[in-house]
Amino acid sequence: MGELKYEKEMVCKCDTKHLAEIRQMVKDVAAVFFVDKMVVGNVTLAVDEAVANVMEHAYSGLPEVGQVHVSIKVEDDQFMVKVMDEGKKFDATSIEPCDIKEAVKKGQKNGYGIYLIRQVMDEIHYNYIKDIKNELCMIKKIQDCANNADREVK
Amino acid sequence: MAELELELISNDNGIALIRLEGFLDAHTFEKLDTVIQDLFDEGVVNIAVNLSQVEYISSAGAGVFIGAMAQAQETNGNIVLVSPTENVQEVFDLLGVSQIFTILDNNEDAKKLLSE
Repeated sequence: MGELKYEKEMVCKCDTKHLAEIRQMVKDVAAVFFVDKMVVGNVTLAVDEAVANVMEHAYSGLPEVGQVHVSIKVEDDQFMVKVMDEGKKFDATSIEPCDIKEAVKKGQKNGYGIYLIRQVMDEIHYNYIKDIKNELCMIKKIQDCANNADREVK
Repeated sequence: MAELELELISNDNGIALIRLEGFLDAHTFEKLDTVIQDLFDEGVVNIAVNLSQVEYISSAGAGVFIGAMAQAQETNGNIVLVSPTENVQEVFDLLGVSQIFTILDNNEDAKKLLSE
């Protein structure tokens, strides 16, 4: 087992009005472990895209709108975020990489979320716990994190 | 918490200027989409959008501009983006959006370009 440096979780109803709160949480934690502001922004973007996807699609057509769970775990040199839901089974990683230039030229308005996540994160995995939940795990490697290990998260 | 403020600064001679402030994400993008679609319905297809006070944009927000550009071009219109913040520019770069948009530093230059 690696050294656990930080752990935080947030659970909220699947309503896009909560996106800003989730972004703020991710940004505050990421800012402690990444020196580069652009990386902080990119990790926040990836989580926002994954959560928005759950909020918009996971429970559509189901009798009840459920929750989305976001957990952040920092261990060794890994900043890991898991986005979980109990909605319809959906493996975002199975989406074929799109031809982004072509899509933008054609004026395609959506479907860029998973492309952005792949662009900015180092690893992305999907797990399905049978009859229970979808889990999208995204990892960003931390460089130069040693100096930040004792800093406090807001 | 600030969400999205949208102001139609001007709408003259077929050129509209919109100012945005806040977050352009999956929660707020429809507000902008509706305003742009209303302008298209009025026949206004040259639109400048000032992004200097947009703190955050996601793919849902960028998608509004991508879709609007394709629609505007069908009728020889144009969408010009003004002064995006660093965060917003980064998302545009990741999506390769900069290849289809003219991005300018101020409203005056944008309006001038759209009137040519």
